[in-house]
Amino acid sequence: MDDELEQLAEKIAEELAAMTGALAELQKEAFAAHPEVAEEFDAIAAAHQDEDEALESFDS
Amino acid sequence: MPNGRDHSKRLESLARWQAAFHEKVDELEARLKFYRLHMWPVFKRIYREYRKARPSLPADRREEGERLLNDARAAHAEYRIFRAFVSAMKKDIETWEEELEKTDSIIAKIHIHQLKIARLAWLGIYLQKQIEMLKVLSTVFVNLRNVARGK
Repeated sequence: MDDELEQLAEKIAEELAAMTGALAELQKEAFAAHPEVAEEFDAIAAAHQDEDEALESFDS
Repeated sequence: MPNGRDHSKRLESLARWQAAFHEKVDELEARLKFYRLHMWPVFKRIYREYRKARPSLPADRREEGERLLNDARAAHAEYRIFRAFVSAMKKDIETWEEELEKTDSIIAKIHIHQLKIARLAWLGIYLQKQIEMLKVLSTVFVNLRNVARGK
């Protein structure tokens, strides 16, 4: 079907955008209720920053 | 200083948040898997169509096609970097959880929940990255199809 891809992309934009929006809202509420979880979230990113940068340099 | 009751309440609250996160992340993952399964064969089909048409395309259209393919590669490379990060994060957290599980204390249980929620939050962001990549690839492959068909 010629416009199959356009239809799938449209569905992703609508359906998945709503789901990711709900997830982002949940994250906001959870982090507000438990700020220590937000700290863990940031700590995880910090712990991997070096690896992330190294991977980027391998990839470029 | 929090007492045992405070800890129990905190533990219960964290368990509820963890369950809510699990539900949303699982739901999103399942839908995304459905779309991925449908989209990749379409991408492959368009790529084959473009490769077949490429030799007879004018030079400017061929250049356009290659530029589009490079955009697709860049989007996928960016996603792969994030996937590696999430994979490494998952391994680390599992190790920390195993260590914490050895300590049969309510504090350790609280920490395990905190780690699990943080991991689920990162998984959610990873799924969003996948969605962004699929959006970019959709645009790229629609354009590539047009190039292949001389539109």
